[in-house]
Amino acid sequence: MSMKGNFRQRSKIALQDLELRKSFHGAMDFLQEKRRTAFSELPLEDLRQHGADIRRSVLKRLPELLEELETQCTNNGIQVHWAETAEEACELVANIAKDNEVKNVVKGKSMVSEEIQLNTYLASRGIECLESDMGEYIVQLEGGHPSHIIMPAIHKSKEGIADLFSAKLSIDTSSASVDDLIGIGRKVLREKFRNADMGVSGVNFAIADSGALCLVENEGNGRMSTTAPPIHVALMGIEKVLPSFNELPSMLSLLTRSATGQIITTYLNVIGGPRRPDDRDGPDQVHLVLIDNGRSTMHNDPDLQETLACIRCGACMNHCPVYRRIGGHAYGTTYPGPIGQVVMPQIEGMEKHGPLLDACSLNGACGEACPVKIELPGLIRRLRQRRHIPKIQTLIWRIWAWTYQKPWRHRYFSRLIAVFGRMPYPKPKAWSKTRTFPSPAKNSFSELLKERRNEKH
Amino acid sequence: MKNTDLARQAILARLRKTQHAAANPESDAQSTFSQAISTPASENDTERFIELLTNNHAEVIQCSQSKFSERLDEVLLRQPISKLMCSAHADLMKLLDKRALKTPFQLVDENYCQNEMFDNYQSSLCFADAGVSELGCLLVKSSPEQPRGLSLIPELNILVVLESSIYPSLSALLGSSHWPSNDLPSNLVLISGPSKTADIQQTLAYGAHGPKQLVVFILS
Repeated sequence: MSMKGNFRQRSKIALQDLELRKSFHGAMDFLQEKRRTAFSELPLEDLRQHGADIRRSVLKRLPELLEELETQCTNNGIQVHWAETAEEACELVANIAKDNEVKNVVKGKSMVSEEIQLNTYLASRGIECLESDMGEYIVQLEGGHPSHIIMPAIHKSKEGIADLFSAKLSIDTSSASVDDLIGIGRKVLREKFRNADMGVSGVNFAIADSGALCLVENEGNGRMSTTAPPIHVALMGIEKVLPSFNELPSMLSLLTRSATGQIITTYLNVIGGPRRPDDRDGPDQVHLVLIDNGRSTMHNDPDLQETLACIRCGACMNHCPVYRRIGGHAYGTTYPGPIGQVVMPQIEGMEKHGPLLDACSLNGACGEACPVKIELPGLIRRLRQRRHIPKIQTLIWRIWAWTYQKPWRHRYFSRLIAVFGRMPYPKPKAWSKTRTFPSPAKNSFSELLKERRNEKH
Repeated sequence: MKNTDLARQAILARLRKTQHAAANPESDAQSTFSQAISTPASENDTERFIELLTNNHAEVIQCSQSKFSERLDEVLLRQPISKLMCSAHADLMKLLDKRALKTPFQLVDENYCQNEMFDNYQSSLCFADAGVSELGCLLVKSSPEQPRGLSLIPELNILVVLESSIYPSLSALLGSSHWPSNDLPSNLVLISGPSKTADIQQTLAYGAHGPKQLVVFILS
């Protein structure tokens, strides 16, 4: 789908795309069922509360934990850098690349790297940055954008991917199965891993007291990107820290079960530093870039701070009835779905992303699915209140308030609706196309009640 | 360097502002969380361990330590052409009868080369220090004797774990002597199966970027 136009326009297009809707319905059903099954053997509510407590406690102690993380990472030989903005973060990575004459980079899945638009920045500096996660690789090959934070190519069919490989890689994929296509991706990307000058990854959890970086994955591309090239740069939002390994079992359980319905991912990769003098492989340099990009401002805001509790599992969008119908591209943002509605206006401004807040029926499914109990509907409501409200909307509410402040005005207005509402008049097409518009009753409830009371006496 | 220091100061200053503004600032207390919540340990943890690995498409072989080399050879001989890179982990060296192996193998030594692994080795043998039955995963630590790429690059990866080193939960492993609390290696990994992806139409496929096959030996 094209990213042109605004959110409303893209949503309209998405709603008319029956193939897309079918893909997303199927995918969301699949992911919801996997999560349900994965949590069926655990005391889910206790675990969610535990996760919520851990994350809230981390946010309260964030500056100390980050300082401790920096100290321990440095002791382990990891070079720690700090970046206030997306631009600064990109520049830091580009400078590391420049200092080491890096020409090509392989990247493991990292949402924060997409948030800061690292690939575009590096490309402008003449550095190729190749996505190595299968889904991200497919999307990048096509020149498109991911439509889901965990399953980036969820919008693409097997046939679509086969055609893409055939066109871009000049390989015959006429009767290719899913296994064959994965085999093609494996072969192509192996060459890239072994020849890359630098590997970039995200961080799922950084362990403050040990200076360790934890990454979860199923494919092995994260391990490849952080093992094969001589330099590894890990990008991390400043909120992704845990005090110690003791918090890891619960957080891991919540993350993997919420994201893909797995008890654990194929690999939990724990990076304790660059290669030691007697190690036979591993990168010579490991860099950790701590990225702010609006997070410390979120942290300062007591009404919105819990945005930072997010562990980027994707459960909220998997359960969102709006996301299910319009898919990820319609949002046009790095983070779509409920978490996107909350995070994007805070990172890139209300003016740019305020309209996303309209795409919510406040059904609460996201808040119930969130493994760390972020009150997403509450955050959406609070952000809505901060939006610029059009004058006409304020006027309508003022009229309503005036009408309903006095009983006689309320009764008179209800009478008007009862009389005129039953007459034919132009009804909103969007509503009346598939629904019968309700008719107001002849008498209001209070009138009926009064009548009955009079009858009794 | 200058920019990152300035950024650091600014970020920490903003974060501290929140703490000063908070009504009840949290003291520097230790974590007061209760033990991590996990599935109750089943009667036979090894059974659960095997079940989870098997569900994840790993092949699990249980045998005694004395039979290990023989059974290993059977697995290796099933492969079409297999050159094996064998970890030189001290515990593995005690278990492996090198003379019994018919498949050509190479022990990790100073000639170990990452490119060689990509080009010439189809299988590898590593020692897993421990396992976790609740998760069906194995702890593989990197070291000079057991490089990171060993359990990552070849198509077939064979892991060996002692049954007595299988813990019921990740929390139990973290509290044990098998977890390197004070001496974290440059890399360790918990492995629960062969590499996989469901990125194409949510259809599971194995051998994405890591090993396509995982064989786990549990030795009693």
